[in-house]
Amino acid sequence: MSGGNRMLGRSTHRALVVAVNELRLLAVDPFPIILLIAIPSLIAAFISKGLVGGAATAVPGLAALFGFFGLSTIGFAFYRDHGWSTWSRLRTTPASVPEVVLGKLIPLTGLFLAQQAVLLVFGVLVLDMPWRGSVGAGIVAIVCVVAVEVAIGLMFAAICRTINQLNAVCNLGGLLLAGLGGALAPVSTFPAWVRHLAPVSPVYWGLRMLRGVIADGNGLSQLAEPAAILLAIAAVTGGLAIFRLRAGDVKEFYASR
Amino acid sequence: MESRAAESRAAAGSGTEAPPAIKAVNLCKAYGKHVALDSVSFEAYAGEILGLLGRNGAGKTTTISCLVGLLTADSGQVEFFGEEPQALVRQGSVSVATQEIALYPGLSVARNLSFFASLAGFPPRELKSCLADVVDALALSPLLHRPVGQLSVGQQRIAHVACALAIRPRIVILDEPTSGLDVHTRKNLLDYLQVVISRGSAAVLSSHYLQEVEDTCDRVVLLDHGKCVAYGSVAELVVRFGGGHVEIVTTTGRTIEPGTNVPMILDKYRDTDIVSVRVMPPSLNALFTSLTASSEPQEQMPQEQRSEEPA
Repeated sequence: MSGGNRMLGRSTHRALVVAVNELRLLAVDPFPIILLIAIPSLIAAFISKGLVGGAATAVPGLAALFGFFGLSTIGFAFYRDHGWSTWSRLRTTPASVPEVVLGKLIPLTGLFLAQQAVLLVFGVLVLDMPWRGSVGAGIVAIVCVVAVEVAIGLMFAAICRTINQLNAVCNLGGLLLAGLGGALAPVSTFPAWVRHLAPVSPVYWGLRMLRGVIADGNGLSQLAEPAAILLAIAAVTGGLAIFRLRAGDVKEFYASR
Repeated sequence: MESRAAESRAAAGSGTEAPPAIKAVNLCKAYGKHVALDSVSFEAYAGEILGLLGRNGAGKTTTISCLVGLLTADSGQVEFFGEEPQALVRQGSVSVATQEIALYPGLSVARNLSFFASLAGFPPRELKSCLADVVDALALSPLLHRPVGQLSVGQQRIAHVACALAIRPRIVILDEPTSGLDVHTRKNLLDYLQVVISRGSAAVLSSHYLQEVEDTCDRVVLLDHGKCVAYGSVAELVVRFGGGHVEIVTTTGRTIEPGTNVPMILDKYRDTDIVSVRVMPPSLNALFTSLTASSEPQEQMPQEQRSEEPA
């Protein structure tokens, strides 16, 4: 094995060790994760019948809304390490900051993918949500939505300094982005000036993809534009997060001294 | 202890003088206008334990943070075995037990130990034997499968230090590792530290327990307001600065006589009724008190002001 391959192998190994540890930490307290998946399913069951478009409108909207509510889970994975002083310990191990970040994001990305998938499957199987597109197009849409959620979550984690800031930014910022993007009410019902602002929100493009696949049967070619925009937003916010993330930053967790 | 370090040095150097395992030269660090470290220099060789002493806020934790790269010194230089410290950190050859307990409270002691050992690069097949060593030495077996959050502070502390010692590091840095430990656990830890050191590692031990430092360490750095006010072998410093006095109680009162030359001192009292004589030999305790007692309590920096450099 060449030196470069060996280094890559060790790097991958360390990221996987962090990922397994992160999965164990999530498993210690699964309740918030269960709620993030169960609550949107319950709400979808209540409101689908009364909405124009039924489950095909409600389910993608709630998937986007609760995806953004879950953003604090990403920041929390970093802040609790600061609170437990394990962040400093990690910095004195051979694991580099990118390896730790990658390791933490692997199970969290899985969690976000599962959230979207479970809600959509629940919509189809329980709420009789019509699914006119292909499964492949649905998977592409989910992957793009999750990519942008994870990147924005990481950016919020990088720019906030305290857990209270993180909670406020993720909850209120998430609600604003979801509302502006049409997760709470269709964009067509907004005042004209807000309608023009809606494309600023990644939720707008995510919903266009999801609703397009579910209700209109859009294929991969029709998903290209919103997918490219979502991946560009993910690249910009993720890049900003990596640029802003400092190993030596002090993040205040609840119990920080 | 001097001979142990010298043997280790000779073995490591194969006849030529090996570089110090830990070398700090003129370390300076300021938080705004507050000078935390002012030209602090010291060395420790393989097979040695260097004691880091000082009052609260004297600069011990800042020194440790600069050694391992948690903080970047404003100026000065650190080398481990003649190399950049980060080179050894990336090899998994440096381990640190910070002053704060750094463990995942929801995970068991065993999970914490194996996580940090895996990160240090231990292959899974060697992990078990590597951990068994430290578990036996520190009597951790009854705690292994209990979540860290359910342990007492002392038990958490020993598990925290065990994570640092388990990886068989070449450089061990322990910041107040015995704080809150019972006598038996403290003894187990310090005995095991000697085992680790005997394999050719070097250690820095910060502590407020002066007797522990006197018994365990080969050299001592005494910090006061970020300055090194004494540095050398424990024996040398104790003889040089460690005072020693004779307390004489007579029918007329109690007198403290400096020095420990008892016959000469008693000669002064030959015409007095002596009730009792107590000889206080030179000690690290006396050294510490004499070199730091006059100073004001030292300012500690709030943690939020210690934020620093990029990844």
